Amino acid sequence: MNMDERTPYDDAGLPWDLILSAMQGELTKEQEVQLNEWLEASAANQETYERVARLYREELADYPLYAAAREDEAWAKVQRRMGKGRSGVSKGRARVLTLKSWAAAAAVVILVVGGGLWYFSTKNGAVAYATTADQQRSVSLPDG
Amino acid sequence: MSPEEEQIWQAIRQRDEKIFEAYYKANYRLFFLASCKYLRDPVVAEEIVNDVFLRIWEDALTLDIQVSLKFYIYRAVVNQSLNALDKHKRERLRREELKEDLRAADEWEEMEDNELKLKFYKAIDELPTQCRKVFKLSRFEGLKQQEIAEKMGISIKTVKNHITRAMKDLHKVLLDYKHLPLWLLAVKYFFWCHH
Repeated sequence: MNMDERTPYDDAGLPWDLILSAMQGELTKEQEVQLNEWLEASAANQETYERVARLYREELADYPLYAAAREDEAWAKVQRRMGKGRSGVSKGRARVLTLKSWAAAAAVVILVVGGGLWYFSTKNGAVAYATTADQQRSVSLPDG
Repeated sequence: MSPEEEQIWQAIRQRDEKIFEAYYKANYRLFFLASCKYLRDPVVAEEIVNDVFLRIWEDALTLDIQVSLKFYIYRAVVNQSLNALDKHKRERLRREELKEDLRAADEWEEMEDNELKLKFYKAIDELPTQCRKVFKLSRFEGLKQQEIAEKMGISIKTVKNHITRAMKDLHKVLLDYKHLPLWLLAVKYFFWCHH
């Protein structure tokens, strides 16, 4: 590859039609003979052929992906997530955590209220103790 | 970092959204292609590029980027793409990797290859309409020269001329790239080694 740097190359005299028809598998028998003659004429010709073949077959292969890329639409998505602090990148996780903590809070409320209701429905009076979970626990110990 | 990159990076650190947007749009396809190379999945590739850019934006003040902003993002995109691969495939790729420092040099080269690809693709987009159409049908749709001639109502000779014109242009892009002046290579080398 580095050799190219020493041998500046003029592509005017290249048999482009032969080379490209070869790439596309469209050589006639006669053209195939011509191409082989040209390839055997010099190592430089072979090098050129390989360089063009690599360009045609490999380097160009990702063009459809490139053509399908839409930076404007992609940027709009980035912009929607910008300025939301850390929530931009870890939005999914943050939302799940919030949901979880709400669920936990709701569960605690239900337990406290439900437990309280159950406790005071089985025992009469002593309503004043039902303010927090801690107090409830200290009350229920002598009960059992 | 090169002076231009330094300027862009400082602007990003100062929350200059316009410059951030311009940088994103100018380089999106490079990073997008880099991710596609590993994942072959444009949807996930877009997500990965966006995640990396958002992280850059949010962590700009704490990030310490020395060698190259572009290469920093490139590596982040490649790493995240590898992480997104299934475990089996990832292990195989890792086994193929060499030492970490060699890997960095390889990735630098890989990034340059991708930049060259972008030059080819831009050159295709810049071909005259008819020529571009013929070339795309031939190279990307796999149509025979005769089929293209019939489809477009032109002679085979014209089809051949268009395809040749397109490949000549692309070949010229390749040769120009390889004949970069030596001083430019020296500058690149300086920035690469100067951390």
